[in-house]
Amino acid sequence: MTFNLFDWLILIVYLLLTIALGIWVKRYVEDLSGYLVAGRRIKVSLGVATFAATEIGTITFMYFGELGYVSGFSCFVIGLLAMLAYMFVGKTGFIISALRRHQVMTIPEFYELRYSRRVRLIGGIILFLGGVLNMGIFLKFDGIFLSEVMGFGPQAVALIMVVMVVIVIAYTVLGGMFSVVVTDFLQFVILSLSMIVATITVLLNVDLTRMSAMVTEQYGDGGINPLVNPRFGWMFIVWILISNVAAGALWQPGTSKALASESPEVARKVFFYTSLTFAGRAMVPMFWGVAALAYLGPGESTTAAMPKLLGMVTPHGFLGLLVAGMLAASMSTYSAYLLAWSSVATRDVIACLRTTNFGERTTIWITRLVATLIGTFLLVFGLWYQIPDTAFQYLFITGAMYTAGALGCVAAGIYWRRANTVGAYCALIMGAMAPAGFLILEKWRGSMPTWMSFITDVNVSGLLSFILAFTGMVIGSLTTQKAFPPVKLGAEETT
Amino acid sequence: MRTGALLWLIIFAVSAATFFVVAFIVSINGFGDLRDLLSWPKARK
Repeated sequence: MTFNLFDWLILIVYLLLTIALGIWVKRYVEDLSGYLVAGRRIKVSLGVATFAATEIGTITFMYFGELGYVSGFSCFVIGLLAMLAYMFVGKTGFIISALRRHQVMTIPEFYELRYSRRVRLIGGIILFLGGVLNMGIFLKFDGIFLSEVMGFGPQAVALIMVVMVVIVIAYTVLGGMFSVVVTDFLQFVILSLSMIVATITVLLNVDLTRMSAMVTEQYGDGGINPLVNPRFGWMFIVWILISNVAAGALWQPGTSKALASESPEVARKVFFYTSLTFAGRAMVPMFWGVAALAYLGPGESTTAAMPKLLGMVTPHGFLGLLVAGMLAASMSTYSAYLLAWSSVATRDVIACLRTTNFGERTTIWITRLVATLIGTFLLVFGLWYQIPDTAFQYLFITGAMYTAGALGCVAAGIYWRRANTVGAYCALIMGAMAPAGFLILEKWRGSMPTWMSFITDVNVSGLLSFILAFTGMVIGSLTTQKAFPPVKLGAEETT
Repeated sequence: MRTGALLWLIIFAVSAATFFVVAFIVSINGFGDLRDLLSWPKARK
């Protein structure tokens, strides 16, 4: 065990502070808007902190660290693509300004405004499934990270997973978005500090020339140039760029921060300033992963190599800060995701099965129950499921199940007058087909006919999902204009 | 060191520095925003 008494002290103080703060803030929740979007009173700096904290979990460090370990410097391109995509959304207000203007709390609410209640139900189900599957591996990866860094080994993974999920459920369920925002801020400060500590420690212990030599030795030109790396290439780059634009504008946990902003203008600023952190958010852990390759060699477990390096080189005291930072990163992500998916399940699935909406108090209670159920599911799923390909690609393919169709529906709904209900159904269903096909069929990759093998290529499936969703929206809408005339958005704005 | 690797390391340095500068500014200014959020008269109990 590499953790000493001082490290434990830092960790315990941090955990107690987070729980106390998260539960204390519960007093500010007085209605549904307070619970789900913090009364729409988030200003720019707080918005950036909470958005960045949501988008940085230990899982983020794990999948980017893994990519650095298995592909060298060439994966750094992903950070640049993410920064460009989020910058585009922030600068232009693409989708988010319109969503904030219409004062929706979840993205499927927009489907009802622009299309129909049934589209909202279908969209809500796909978003919920894609989102919860996406989140399914977070706990396991975080458990691996913390058990390696703290020196407990694989036998402690399950226990760490249980402790983390119980703490997050406790304050998210009680305090909703108020708790999420306030604890996110504290967590952002701590995780930023721990990232600085880890980066400096790695720089002091791993020689940059050795990193370069090791990458070249292991991966050749593919370790430097993403276009010739077999994991990446043009198709991957196009997919990830489109996917980041879609996720930036439409991924409920992040977008909910824009929807909680004071105004559409503040929402745009939050996205723009957060985008400046996105290249660093990816490249810092990727750099740790490349350093792990240079320090430990190529024979390590790809997921455990980077945390193992940090556990070995980080001095005591700082190790406690590092683990507190990683826990902070994870808890801020879990809380935002739990709230996002439980609010979608409650408002866009369960409520849409009824003819009348639930009252505000009932909605809050159902949201709390669903959040608890999701947390329990995450534990079971995380312990059982073996992910295909890298964690990064798994996350983007499960995300594409929803974002591909959502991009078609929402972008067309805002910017194309002829988009109609049939087009929306086609976009949502066709967008989910390729990723779902990948997740199911990749288990039988070896026994499939050659002509179908393209579906088990994660990059092809990912890009295909966006092409199919776009095609579905255009063809579905244009061929049914008379039978299903488009709904004008302005006439049905919420207040 | 290969030129490509050096180029990526420079991009990494700029990106990491940008991240930490934004994090520092946001951490300082965020306290004010947090105070405003929690002093919301309607929500104060």
